Amino acid sequence: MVILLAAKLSAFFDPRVLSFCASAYRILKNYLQLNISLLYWILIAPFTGQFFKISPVFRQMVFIGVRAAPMVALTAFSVGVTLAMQAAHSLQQLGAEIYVPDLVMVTLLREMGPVLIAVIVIGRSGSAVAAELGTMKVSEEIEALEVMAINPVQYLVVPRFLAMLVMLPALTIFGNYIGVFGGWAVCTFALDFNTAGYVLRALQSADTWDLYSGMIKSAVFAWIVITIACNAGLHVEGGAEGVGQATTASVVQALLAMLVTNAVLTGIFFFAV
Amino acid sequence: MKRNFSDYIVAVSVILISLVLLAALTIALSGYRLKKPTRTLQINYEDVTGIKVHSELRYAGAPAGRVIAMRHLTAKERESSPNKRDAVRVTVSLDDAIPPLPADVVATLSSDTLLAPKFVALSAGTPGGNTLTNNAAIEGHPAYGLDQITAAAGPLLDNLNITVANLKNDLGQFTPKLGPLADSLKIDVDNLQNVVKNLDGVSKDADTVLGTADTFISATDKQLQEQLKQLHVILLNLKVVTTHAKALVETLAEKPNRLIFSGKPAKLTPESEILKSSKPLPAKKP
Repeated sequence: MVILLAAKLSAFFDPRVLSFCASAYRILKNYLQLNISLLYWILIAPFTGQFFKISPVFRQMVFIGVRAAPMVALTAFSVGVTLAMQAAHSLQQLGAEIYVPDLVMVTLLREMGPVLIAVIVIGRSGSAVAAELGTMKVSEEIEALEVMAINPVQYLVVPRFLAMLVMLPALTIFGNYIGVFGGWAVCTFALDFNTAGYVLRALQSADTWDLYSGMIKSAVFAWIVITIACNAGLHVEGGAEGVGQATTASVVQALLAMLVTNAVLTGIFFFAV
Repeated sequence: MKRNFSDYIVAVSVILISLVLLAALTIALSGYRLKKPTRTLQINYEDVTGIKVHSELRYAGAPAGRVIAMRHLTAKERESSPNKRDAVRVTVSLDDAIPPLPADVVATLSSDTLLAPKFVALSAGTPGGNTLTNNAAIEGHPAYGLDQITAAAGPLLDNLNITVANLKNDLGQFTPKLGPLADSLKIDVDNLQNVVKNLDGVSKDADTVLGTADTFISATDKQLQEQLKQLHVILLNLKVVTTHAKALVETLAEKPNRLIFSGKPAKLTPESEILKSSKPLPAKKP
């Protein structure tokens, strides 16, 4: 039936389009399977006595989160400084530079913090996870685990997933503080703000929902980034070249998915909440 | 095992620090205060646009505290309020250094500039009188910013619209009456033109009369001047005659014997000297 349908479709479409569609379908199917399997091993399996090990989770937390902290700090500081300078440039023309802390705080909490820190984590940790799992796949370590009756999702994906789910929001909180600090540096040294005035304006401008909407985004991004990276790594084909391609594909897919999800979540928060 | 232990410590530390940072930010953004404010003031407003929790409180223009809570008044509270239009109660905390507030302080909403954030402003009040108790409720007055001016202009514009409509209506009624008025005005203008023409003739006649009068006055003036000259000569002669007459009278009165027995007559004052003098002179020179 499927073969017949494919034969009929091939008469109307370019073979390259069909190949792309088939590839996208396969990736999506694998991705959904991975997510269902992941949810099973996290939510259902522990109640059946099949606990995942906790130590790999902490190891992955250090690898995914703690070691990314310097890059996140540098990025967040740069973003905070840039935001403050750009805002000051425009707001000074209106005599409204007092709103620079507001803009820095709200932009960081709602958008720039979660998005840019997710970008950093995708580039650093997501690609590393995809490459690591891909290498394990091509060196047949994953088949070896299956031979030993160890589920690769339980053993390899769940710790990374949980680590990412905890560490990306944690990095986002950390990045928000550093970004606001960057804005403070510009406001204090270039705009003659005093520290108390800056902090009060920044706190006055945002509310708790701004913070938690950013945290929700961050958690969703964590899910998307790690599942895409793991999916790409677990389905590598073709040796070392395949690992490289899978790593690149995971980064591209994760970035696109993250940005589209950001737009969707912003729309939901904007219109529904 | 050693590596696992260090991973535990680092990961748990990072998670705990993140939780602490998140809690701190949540507390800061929510406006929750660990230390309860010792002095508060409640202000009822009709409208608190631009004011939020954390907004600044200024007493006589200087920072004096923060807005710590805002809530809508219940229907009962609105009914019992002196101003039925009050809708929001703003609770502000006062810094401990602020002196007791006089009872006549006026609470308004203000901002430094049009774009600047709004704050609750308390006037200085009058010292020496009653003071407000802790957590007292006072009446707030609305801000007089651009929004309020615009809002106030709304009814004015509505009234203007009505006025314009009425004016249009009145104009419609007035226009038909303008025809007869314009006709009568035309007649008046024609009459006025005739009057002006007549006035022109009168003006010309007056010019002629004045010219004649001028000629008459000129001729009369010349005659008068000549007669005055003749009179002057007469007066001079009279002056000489009267002076000499004085000598004659004196001679007749004082020395009659010389007329009888003759003698050398006294020398008279010359005529030229009499004419030059502006004072009476003796008739005879001594």
